[in-house]
Amino acid sequence: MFKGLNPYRQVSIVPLAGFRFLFGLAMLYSTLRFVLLGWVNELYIEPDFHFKFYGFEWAIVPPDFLVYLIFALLILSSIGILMGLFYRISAILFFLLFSYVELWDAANYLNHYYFVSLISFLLILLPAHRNFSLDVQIRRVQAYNGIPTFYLWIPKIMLSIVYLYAGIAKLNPDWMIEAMPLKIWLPAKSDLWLIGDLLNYEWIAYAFSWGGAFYDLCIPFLLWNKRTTSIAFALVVFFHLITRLLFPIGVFPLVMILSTTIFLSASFHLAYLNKIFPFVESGSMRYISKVLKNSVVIFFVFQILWPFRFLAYPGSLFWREEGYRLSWRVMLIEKAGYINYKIKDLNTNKVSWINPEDYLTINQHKQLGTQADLILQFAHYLEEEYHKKGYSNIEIYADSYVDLQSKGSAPFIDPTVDLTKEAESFKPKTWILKAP
Amino acid sequence: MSKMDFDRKAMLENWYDNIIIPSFTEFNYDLEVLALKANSFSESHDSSHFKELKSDFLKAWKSFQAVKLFEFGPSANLNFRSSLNSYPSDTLKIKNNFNSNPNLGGANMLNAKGFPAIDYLLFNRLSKNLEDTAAIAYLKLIIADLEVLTQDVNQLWLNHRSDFINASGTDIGSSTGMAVNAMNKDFELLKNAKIGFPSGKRTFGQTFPEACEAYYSLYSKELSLANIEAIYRFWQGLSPDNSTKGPSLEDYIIELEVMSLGENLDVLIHNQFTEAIQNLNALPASLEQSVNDYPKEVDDVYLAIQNNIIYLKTDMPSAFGVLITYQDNDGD
Repeated sequence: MFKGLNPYRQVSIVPLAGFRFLFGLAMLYSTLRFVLLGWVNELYIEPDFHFKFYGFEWAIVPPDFLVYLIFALLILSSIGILMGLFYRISAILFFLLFSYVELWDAANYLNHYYFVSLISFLLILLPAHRNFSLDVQIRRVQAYNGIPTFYLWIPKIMLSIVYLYAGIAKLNPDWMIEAMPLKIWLPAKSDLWLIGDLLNYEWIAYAFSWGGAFYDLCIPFLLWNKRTTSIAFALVVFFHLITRLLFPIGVFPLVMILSTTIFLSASFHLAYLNKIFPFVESGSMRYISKVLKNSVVIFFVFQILWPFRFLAYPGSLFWREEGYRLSWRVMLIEKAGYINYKIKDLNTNKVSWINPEDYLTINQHKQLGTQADLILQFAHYLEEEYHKKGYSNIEIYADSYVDLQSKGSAPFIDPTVDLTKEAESFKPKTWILKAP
Repeated sequence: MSKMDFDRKAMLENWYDNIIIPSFTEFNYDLEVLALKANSFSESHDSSHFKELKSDFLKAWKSFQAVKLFEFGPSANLNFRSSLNSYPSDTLKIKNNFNSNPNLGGANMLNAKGFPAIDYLLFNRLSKNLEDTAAIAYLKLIIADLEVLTQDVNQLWLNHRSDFINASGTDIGSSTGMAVNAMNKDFELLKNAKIGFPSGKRTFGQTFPEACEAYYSLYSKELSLANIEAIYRFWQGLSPDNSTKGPSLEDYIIELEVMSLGENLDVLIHNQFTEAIQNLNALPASLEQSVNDYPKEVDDVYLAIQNNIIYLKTDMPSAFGVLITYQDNDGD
């Protein structure tokens, strides 16, 4: 057992090369899909306004031709990753560009995009191209057969954190005791063939809630343990296919299934790698640089602590969503909001109402309704717009309602607070009203 | 509730058979009558035919209010509502069109055709001079345009029964999901375009009675009422003549026992609809006049609608698991 804890223990490079290939394939597929579905236009080029992440306001959508160039480079670099060609440069390029694109609009934030950013960052550090790759074939780099097990740990630990934290996040009264929001979401799919009617039963929502939490909390251990790896992987496939069937989650079940193959044996990966790349017989890599070791430790310490930052905020996390993102809280809440802005012209003392729907895409508008930081950002945008129109002396108020977990709509933002006077920060937002 | 027992398919059947198709049938019929009356007037130019024409026009406009919320499913993306009812009209553009044989299909023609343009022709232009043949010719042209667009949409709906009823989930692409979104969109339009803009809600209090839907006939209040009543009937599952009540969004809420902060959601929505209708009825004058003379009363209408939209856009879709967006995404 403790022999397994030696980071220098030599293991086959095959699972790492396979992981590189499959993850690259998933990235190639999802980027192509993104482009072909017209989302580049719909999400980035057409909208006049984009929401930003705090601290990343500089990440603006560049001119159209650069946007297309960036997506072209994303496609090229994902091919570079999957084929192991100019691998390190490809991984760096993919990580930087993918993350940059995600910063363009906070309304598009998804936990899984964050996951892709992190994995592609970690890929930069891994010798995943040191066999079964074009880099080895064209002799750009020396091949290895064995590598320190440390390199396999890195993606494995990342995946374990994702699952564990997703599981911990489910351990809340809504999910476990009320079976919310699955109690609402499952009957929505009751037109499904064969299993549809089953989804109307309340006990099914409980079974899925408890099963989902149990799955998330156990699966890392089952994957790490050699004796249960195969059964665990079968569970991973089953779980993600079910979520694909029931929820509109696009390409991510595939991304998660393919990423989890890092836990599988060399023989699994050899089955397809051998057909694509020749295996190059050679020596072993035995060295782990100190800088790398330390950076990885810092990275994971951050990953372990960061999701707990919500503890520093008062009130209901699901209502306020302070410290909610970047914490593996996946599909946890049913939330709908409705917001109008009131602009008061202090020169005339007259008010005007703004329906933000007129300015935003459907998705931006949906996200705006329930997230206080976006509500503040949009108020500041309106302030600028009205300054341009010649209204120099205005106050802006939000008239907003949120329904959380189908308990009933309640006022969300304090309607007496002039949002032009408030600034974004990591401090708790005093102008969010108490959850009902 | 240990099992959700609401039959969404039955609700879709009720919507399709008892509400959507009969509403389109009635509207189609009223348009045909309108076209006939326009013809007889164009032959006679007399005031009794003119009077009939005007009243049949208002009737058709009113029955349009009962179909305009069905801009989804087969009639999504056809711009049916904006092609038939963009206001205020650009009267200069209309006059320029008299002699130019315009292509009415273009987006730049939206404010020179449809009901609001007819409103101008009948209640302003022709009421001054029944012999205005250029105006009468244009009138017939835009009525023909209305008929063609409506027949297209009507036909699409008629061919769509099984698709509509079989998409019985509440997820993206489901009929319930699309209908809830479409109903809310129409209600939002009622609030913003019919009431909000003319009454200065979006212009720091500066009113625009001339931006009312039926500025020349002063019929905007009646049209707003017809619109909100149609939305209310749809929500309750009532047929246009109130003769049949079938499974509805209201019943669905009742089956799910949805509470909003301790109160029954169906009751709250009922009360808000009733309040908005009462407030609209209670306006002491036409909407055109009220936006200037009775701002408080118009405000009450606006608020009653707005308060209902909160329930209809947050509480109700949440309870159904209806997604507010139409687009697919890589959600998580």
